[in-house]
Amino acid sequence: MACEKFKRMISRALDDELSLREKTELEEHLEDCPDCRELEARLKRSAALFMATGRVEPRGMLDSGFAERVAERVAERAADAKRRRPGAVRMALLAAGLALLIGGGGGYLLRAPAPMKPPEPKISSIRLDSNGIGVEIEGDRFVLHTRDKAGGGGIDLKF
Amino acid sequence: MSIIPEDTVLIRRALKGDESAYADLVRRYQDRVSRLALRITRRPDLVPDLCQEVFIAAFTNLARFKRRSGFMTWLHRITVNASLAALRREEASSRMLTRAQEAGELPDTIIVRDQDSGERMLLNRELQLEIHEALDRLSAEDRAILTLRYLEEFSTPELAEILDLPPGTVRSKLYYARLKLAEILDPALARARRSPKSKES
Repeated sequence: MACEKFKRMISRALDDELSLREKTELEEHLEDCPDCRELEARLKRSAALFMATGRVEPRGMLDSGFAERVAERVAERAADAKRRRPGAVRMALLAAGLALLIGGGGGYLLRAPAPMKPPEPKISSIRLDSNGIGVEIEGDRFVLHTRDKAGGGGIDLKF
Repeated sequence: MSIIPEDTVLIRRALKGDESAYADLVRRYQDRVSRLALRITRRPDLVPDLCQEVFIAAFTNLARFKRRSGFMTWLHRITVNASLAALRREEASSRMLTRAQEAGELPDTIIVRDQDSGERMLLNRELQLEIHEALDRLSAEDRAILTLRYLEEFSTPELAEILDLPPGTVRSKLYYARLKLAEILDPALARARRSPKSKES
Protein backbone atom coordinates (compact mmCIF):
# COMPACT_ATOMS: atom_id res chain seq x y z
CA MET A 1 0.00 0.00 0.00
CA ALA A 2 2.79 2.38 0.99
CA CYS A 3 4.72 1.41 -2.14
CA GLU A 4 1.71 2.18 -4.38
CA LYS A 5 1.77 5.75 -3.08
CA PHE A 6 5.52 6.04 -3.76
CA LYS A 7 5.23 4.46 -7.23
CA ARG A 8 2.79 7.19 -8.19
CA MET A 9 5.16 9.75 -6.69
CA ILE A 10 7.97 8.37 -8.89
CA SER A 11 5.80 9.07 -11.92
CA ARG A 12 5.11 12.61 -10.71
CA ALA A 13 8.82 13.07 -9.96
CA LEU A 14 9.55 12.31 -13.63
CA ASP A 15 7.32 15.28 -14.48
CA ASP A 16 9.12 17.38 -11.86
CA GLU A 17 5.88 17.90 -9.98
CA LEU A 18 6.90 17.03 -6.43
CA SER A 19 7.19 19.57 -3.66
CA LEU A 20 10.45 19.70 -1.71
CA ARG A 21 8.87 17.77 1.15
CA GLU A 22 7.55 15.07 -1.19
CA LYS A 23 10.96 14.78 -2.85
CA THR A 24 12.62 14.18 0.51
CA GLU A 25 9.93 11.67 1.48
CA LEU A 26 10.40 9.78 -1.79
CA GLU A 27 14.21 9.78 -1.52
CA GLU A 28 14.00 8.35 2.00
CA HIS A 29 11.66 5.63 0.79
CA LEU A 30 13.85 4.78 -2.22
CA GLU A 31 16.84 4.29 0.07
CA ASP A 32 14.99 1.53 1.89
CA CYS A 33 12.96 -0.01 -0.95
CA PRO A 34 14.78 -1.91 -3.74
CA ASP A 35 11.50 -2.60 -5.60
CA CYS A 36 10.68 1.08 -5.95
CA ARG A 37 14.31 1.85 -6.87
CA GLU A 38 14.08 -0.75 -9.61
CA LEU A 39 10.77 0.69 -10.84
CA GLU A 40 12.23 4.20 -10.94
CA ALA A 41 15.15 2.95 -13.04
CA ARG A 42 12.84 1.04 -15.44
CA LEU A 43 10.55 4.03 -15.92
CA LYS A 44 13.51 6.29 -16.63
CA ARG A 45 15.14 3.88 -19.10
CA SER A 46 11.91 3.13 -20.95
CA ALA A 47 11.18 6.87 -21.20
CA ALA A 48 14.65 7.42 -22.63
CA LEU A 49 14.07 4.68 -25.24
CA PHE A 50 10.66 6.10 -26.11
CA MET A 51 12.13 9.56 -26.64
CA ALA A 52 15.09 8.28 -28.61
CA THR A 53 13.10 6.12 -31.01
CA GLY A 54 9.77 7.97 -31.05
CA ARG A 55 11.03 11.04 -32.85
CA VAL A 56 9.86 9.87 -36.25
CA GLU A 57 9.50 12.70 -38.72
CA PRO A 58 6.77 12.78 -41.36
CA ARG A 59 9.08 13.74 -44.19
CA GLY A 60 7.29 14.47 -47.44
CA MET A 61 3.90 13.30 -46.24
CA LEU A 62 2.19 16.58 -46.97
CA ASP A 63 2.98 18.03 -50.38
CA SER A 64 3.68 21.70 -50.99
CA GLY A 65 0.09 22.45 -52.08
CA PHE A 66 -1.51 20.97 -48.96
CA ALA A 67 -2.31 24.27 -47.23
CA GLU A 68 -3.86 25.80 -50.36
CA ARG A 69 -5.99 22.69 -50.96
CA VAL A 70 -7.30 22.73 -47.39
CA ALA A 71 -8.05 26.47 -47.63
CA GLU A 72 -9.96 25.91 -50.89
CA ARG A 73 -11.94 23.07 -49.33
CA VAL A 74 -12.94 25.13 -46.31
CA ALA A 75 -13.85 28.10 -48.54
CA GLU A 76 -16.11 25.83 -50.62
CA ARG A 77 -17.73 24.48 -47.47
CA ALA A 78 -18.25 27.97 -46.07
CA ALA A 79 -19.86 29.08 -49.36
CA ASP A 80 -22.15 26.02 -49.37
CA ALA A 81 -23.19 26.67 -45.78
CA LYS A 82 -23.93 30.30 -46.61
CA ARG A 83 -26.10 29.31 -49.58
CA ARG A 84 -28.13 26.94 -47.42
CA ARG A 85 -28.54 29.40 -44.53
CA PRO A 86 -31.72 31.57 -44.57
CA GLY A 87 -31.26 35.34 -44.49
CA ALA A 88 -30.31 36.83 -41.17
CA VAL A 89 -33.33 39.17 -41.10
CA ARG A 90 -35.70 36.29 -41.69
CA MET A 91 -34.02 34.31 -38.95
CA ALA A 92 -34.31 37.22 -36.53
CA LEU A 93 -38.01 37.61 -37.32
CA LEU A 94 -38.56 33.91 -36.89
CA ALA A 95 -36.71 33.85 -33.59
CA ALA A 96 -38.70 36.84 -32.29
CA GLY A 97 -41.92 35.22 -33.42
CA LEU A 98 -41.08 31.94 -31.75
CA ALA A 99 -40.19 33.78 -28.54
CA LEU A 100 -43.58 35.51 -28.67
CA LEU A 101 -45.28 32.19 -29.32
CA ILE A 102 -43.56 30.44 -26.42
CA GLY A 103 -43.81 33.37 -24.00
CA GLY A 104 -47.42 34.28 -24.91
CA GLY A 105 -49.97 32.14 -26.65
CA GLY A 106 -47.66 29.13 -26.67
CA GLY A 107 -48.28 28.78 -22.96
CA TYR A 108 -51.83 27.92 -23.86
CA LEU A 109 -50.66 24.86 -25.73
CA LEU A 110 -48.48 23.79 -22.81
CA ARG A 111 -51.15 24.34 -20.17
CA ALA A 112 -54.27 23.14 -21.92
CA PRO A 113 -55.31 19.52 -21.56
CA ALA A 114 -55.75 17.83 -24.90
CA PRO A 115 -59.42 18.43 -25.68
CA MET A 116 -61.39 15.99 -27.75
CA LYS A 117 -62.59 18.93 -29.80
CA PRO A 118 -60.51 22.07 -29.64
CA PRO A 119 -62.26 25.33 -28.95
CA GLU A 120 -62.52 27.65 -31.88
CA PRO A 121 -61.64 31.16 -30.76
CA LYS A 122 -63.15 33.92 -32.84
CA ILE A 123 -60.44 36.16 -34.14
CA SER A 124 -61.41 38.27 -37.05
CA SER A 125 -58.25 40.28 -37.53
CA ILE A 126 -54.58 39.83 -36.70
CA ARG A 127 -52.70 42.68 -35.12
CA LEU A 128 -49.06 42.71 -36.01
CA ASP A 129 -46.75 44.38 -33.53
CA SER A 130 -44.15 47.01 -34.38
CA ASN A 131 -41.78 44.28 -35.55
CA GLY A 132 -44.36 43.03 -38.01
CA ILE A 133 -45.16 39.87 -36.02
CA GLY A 134 -48.53 38.52 -35.00
CA VAL A 135 -50.02 35.26 -33.81
CA GLU A 136 -53.39 33.82 -34.82
CA ILE A 137 -55.12 30.76 -33.39
CA GLU A 138 -56.75 28.85 -36.18
CA GLY A 139 -58.60 25.80 -34.89
CA ASP A 140 -56.02 23.67 -33.11
CA ARG A 141 -53.09 25.40 -34.76
CA PHE A 142 -51.11 28.54 -34.21
CA VAL A 143 -50.30 30.71 -37.18
CA LEU A 144 -47.31 33.01 -36.95
CA HIS A 145 -47.51 35.97 -39.33
CA THR A 146 -44.54 38.14 -40.18
CA ARG A 147 -44.48 41.13 -42.53
CA ASP A 148 -41.88 43.72 -43.17
CA LYS A 149 -42.65 47.21 -41.93
CA ALA A 150 -43.99 48.32 -45.28
CA GLY A 151 -46.58 45.58 -45.09
CA GLY A 152 -44.94 43.69 -47.91
CA GLY A 153 -43.22 40.32 -48.00
CA GLY A 154 -43.15 38.02 -45.00
CA ILE A 155 -43.84 34.48 -43.94
CA ASP A 156 -46.76 32.65 -42.39
CA LEU A 157 -45.95 29.58 -40.35
CA LYS A 158 -48.54 27.14 -39.05
CA PHE A 159 -47.86 25.02 -35.95
CA MET B 1 0.44 28.14 -23.83
CA SER B 2 -1.20 31.46 -24.73
CA ILE B 3 -2.31 32.45 -28.19
CA ILE B 4 0.32 33.94 -30.49
CA PRO B 5 -0.66 37.44 -31.75
CA GLU B 6 -0.01 36.47 -35.40
CA ASP B 7 -2.45 33.59 -34.99
CA THR B 8 -5.14 35.96 -33.71
CA VAL B 9 -4.77 38.12 -36.80
CA LEU B 10 -4.86 35.14 -39.16
CA ILE B 11 -7.86 33.63 -37.37
CA ARG B 12 -9.75 36.92 -37.58
CA ARG B 13 -9.00 37.25 -41.29
CA ALA B 14 -9.91 33.60 -41.93
CA LEU B 15 -13.24 34.07 -40.17
CA LYS B 16 -13.97 36.97 -42.52
CA GLY B 17 -13.49 34.63 -45.46
CA ASP B 18 -9.85 35.33 -46.30
CA GLU B 19 -8.78 32.04 -47.87
CA SER B 20 -5.07 32.94 -47.95
CA ALA B 21 -5.10 33.69 -44.19
CA TYR B 22 -6.31 30.20 -43.44
CA ALA B 23 -3.74 28.74 -45.84
CA ASP B 24 -1.07 30.65 -43.86
CA LEU B 25 -2.42 29.24 -40.61
CA VAL B 26 -2.34 25.70 -42.05
CA ARG B 27 1.23 26.17 -43.33
CA ARG B 28 2.28 27.38 -39.88
CA TYR B 29 1.09 24.26 -38.13
CA GLN B 30 0.93 21.48 -40.70
CA ASP B 31 4.31 19.99 -39.74
CA ARG B 32 3.48 19.79 -36.04
CA VAL B 33 0.02 18.36 -36.75
CA SER B 34 1.35 15.74 -39.18
CA ARG B 35 4.17 14.79 -36.80
CA LEU B 36 1.79 14.34 -33.88
CA ALA B 37 -0.65 12.34 -36.04
CA LEU B 38 2.19 10.07 -37.17
CA ARG B 39 3.54 9.58 -33.67
CA ILE B 40 0.14 8.61 -32.32
CA THR B 41 -1.09 6.48 -35.22
CA ARG B 42 2.32 5.20 -36.43
CA ARG B 43 0.54 4.94 -39.78
CA PRO B 44 2.11 7.18 -42.46
CA ASP B 45 -0.61 6.14 -44.90
CA LEU B 46 -3.27 7.75 -42.67
CA VAL B 47 -1.47 11.04 -42.05
CA PRO B 48 -2.39 13.18 -45.13
CA ASP B 49 -6.14 12.53 -44.85
CA LEU B 50 -5.98 12.89 -41.11
CA CYS B 51 -4.29 16.28 -41.39
CA GLN B 52 -6.88 17.45 -43.88
CA GLU B 53 -9.62 16.29 -41.53
CA VAL B 54 -7.99 18.14 -38.62
CA PHE B 55 -7.67 21.47 -40.44
CA ILE B 56 -11.19 21.30 -41.87
CA ALA B 57 -12.59 20.49 -38.40
CA ALA B 58 -10.53 23.35 -36.96
CA PHE B 59 -11.94 25.80 -39.50
CA THR B 60 -15.51 24.57 -38.99
CA ASN B 61 -15.14 25.27 -35.26
CA LEU B 62 -12.92 28.34 -35.57
CA ALA B 63 -15.66 30.74 -34.49
CA ARG B 64 -16.05 28.71 -31.28
CA PHE B 65 -12.32 28.68 -30.54
CA LYS B 66 -11.91 30.11 -27.03
CA ARG B 67 -8.74 32.13 -26.95
CA ARG B 68 -7.88 31.10 -23.43
CA SER B 69 -5.33 28.66 -24.80
CA GLY B 70 -3.03 28.69 -27.79
CA PHE B 71 -4.24 27.75 -31.23
CA MET B 72 -1.60 25.01 -31.25
CA THR B 73 -2.92 23.50 -28.01
CA TRP B 74 -6.39 23.50 -29.52
CA LEU B 75 -5.10 21.90 -32.73
CA HIS B 76 -3.35 19.23 -30.67
CA ARG B 77 -6.65 18.40 -29.06
CA ILE B 78 -8.37 18.01 -32.44
CA THR B 79 -5.41 15.98 -33.76
CA VAL B 80 -5.38 13.59 -30.80
CA ASN B 81 -9.12 12.98 -31.13
CA ALA B 82 -8.95 12.56 -34.91
CA SER B 83 -5.96 10.22 -34.64
CA LEU B 84 -7.62 7.99 -32.06
CA ALA B 85 -10.83 7.94 -34.13
CA ALA B 86 -8.86 7.05 -37.28
CA LEU B 87 -7.14 4.19 -35.47
CA ARG B 88 -10.46 2.88 -34.25
CA ARG B 89 -11.72 2.92 -37.86
CA GLU B 90 -8.57 1.20 -39.09
CA GLU B 91 -8.17 -1.20 -36.18
CA ALA B 92 -8.11 -4.30 -38.33
CA SER B 93 -5.55 -2.95 -40.78
CA SER B 94 -2.00 -4.19 -40.89
CA ARG B 95 0.80 -2.11 -39.43
CA MET B 96 3.34 -3.49 -41.91
CA LEU B 97 3.44 -0.25 -43.85
CA THR B 98 4.70 1.58 -40.78
CA ARG B 99 7.39 -0.98 -40.17
CA ALA B 100 8.51 -1.02 -43.78
CA GLN B 101 8.82 2.74 -43.82
CA GLU B 102 10.56 2.86 -40.47
CA ALA B 103 13.03 0.16 -41.49
CA GLY B 104 14.09 2.32 -44.40
CA GLU B 105 14.54 5.42 -42.29
CA LEU B 106 16.15 4.13 -39.10
CA PRO B 107 19.60 5.40 -38.25
CA ASP B 108 22.34 2.76 -37.97
CA THR B 109 22.79 3.32 -34.25
CA ILE B 110 21.17 5.39 -31.54
CA ILE B 111 22.98 6.02 -28.28
CA VAL B 112 20.74 6.48 -25.27
CA ARG B 113 22.35 7.71 -22.09
CA ASP B 114 20.86 7.15 -18.63
CA GLN B 115 21.43 10.55 -17.05
CA ASP B 116 21.47 9.24 -13.48
CA SER B 117 23.92 6.36 -13.81
CA GLY B 118 25.77 7.58 -16.89
CA GLU B 119 25.10 4.18 -18.45
CA ARG B 120 24.83 4.13 -22.23
CA MET B 121 22.55 1.94 -24.32
CA LEU B 122 23.46 1.35 -27.93
CA LEU B 123 20.52 0.62 -30.19
CA ASN B 124 21.38 -0.96 -33.51
CA ARG B 125 18.76 -1.10 -36.27
CA GLU B 126 17.56 -4.53 -35.21
CA LEU B 127 16.99 -3.35 -31.68
CA GLN B 128 15.32 -0.17 -32.89
CA LEU B 129 12.91 -2.25 -34.96
CA GLU B 130 12.20 -4.40 -31.93
CA ILE B 131 11.40 -1.26 -29.96
CA HIS B 132 9.12 0.03 -32.72
CA GLU B 133 7.29 -3.28 -32.73
CA ALA B 134 6.88 -3.03 -28.98
CA LEU B 135 5.56 0.53 -29.29
CA ASP B 136 2.99 -0.76 -31.79
CA ARG B 137 1.64 -2.91 -28.98
CA LEU B 138 0.93 0.10 -26.77
CA SER B 139 -2.69 1.18 -26.84
CA ALA B 140 -3.31 4.29 -28.93
CA GLU B 141 -4.45 6.17 -25.82
CA ASP B 142 -1.24 5.32 -23.94
CA ARG B 143 0.86 6.23 -26.98
CA ALA B 144 -1.00 9.55 -27.30
CA ILE B 145 -0.41 10.64 -23.71
CA LEU B 146 3.24 9.50 -23.72
CA THR B 147 3.82 11.26 -27.04
CA LEU B 148 2.31 14.48 -25.76
CA ARG B 149 4.38 14.29 -22.58
CA TYR B 150 7.74 13.03 -23.80
CA LEU B 151 7.95 14.12 -27.42
CA GLU B 152 5.75 17.23 -27.54
CA GLU B 153 6.80 18.14 -23.98
CA PHE B 154 3.46 19.37 -22.69
CA SER B 155 3.02 19.90 -18.94
CA THR B 156 0.27 18.24 -16.93
CA PRO B 157 -2.05 21.31 -17.02
CA GLU B 158 -1.57 21.53 -20.80
CA LEU B 159 -2.26 17.81 -21.18
CA ALA B 160 -5.41 18.26 -19.12
CA GLU B 161 -6.56 20.91 -21.55
CA ILE B 162 -5.67 18.93 -24.67
CA LEU B 163 -7.22 15.70 -23.42
CA ASP B 164 -10.14 17.46 -21.72
CA LEU B 165 -9.45 15.66 -18.45
CA PRO B 166 -8.87 16.82 -14.86
CA PRO B 167 -5.13 17.10 -13.99
CA GLY B 168 -5.46 14.28 -11.44
CA THR B 169 -6.78 11.94 -14.13
CA VAL B 170 -3.93 12.95 -16.44
CA ARG B 171 -1.38 12.05 -13.72
CA SER B 172 -3.06 8.71 -13.18
CA LYS B 173 -3.16 7.94 -16.91
CA LEU B 174 0.50 8.93 -17.24
CA TYR B 175 1.41 6.62 -14.39
CA TYR B 176 -0.33 3.59 -15.94
CA ALA B 177 0.98 4.40 -19.43
CA ARG B 178 4.53 4.54 -18.01
CA LEU B 179 4.11 1.19 -16.29
CA LYS B 180 2.85 -0.31 -19.56
CA LEU B 181 5.69 1.24 -21.55
CA ALA B 182 8.30 -0.17 -19.15
CA GLU B 183 6.63 -3.58 -19.29
CA ILE B 184 6.61 -3.82 -23.09
CA LEU B 185 10.13 -2.40 -23.43
CA ASP B 186 11.70 -4.63 -20.78
CA PRO B 187 13.00 -7.26 -23.25
CA ALA B 188 14.50 -4.60 -25.54
CA LEU B 189 15.95 -2.79 -22.53
CA ALA B 190 17.60 -5.96 -21.31
CA ARG B 191 19.15 -6.57 -24.73
CA ALA B 192 20.28 -2.96 -25.05
CA ARG B 193 21.99 -3.14 -21.66
CA ARG B 194 23.69 -6.42 -22.56
CA SER B 195 25.22 -4.75 -25.60
CA PRO B 196 29.04 -5.12 -25.31
CA LYS B 197 29.65 -1.39 -25.63
CA SER B 198 26.87 -0.28 -23.34
CA LYS B 199 29.17 0.49 -20.43
CA GLU B 200 31.59 2.61 -22.37
CA SER B 201 31.85 6.16 -21.17
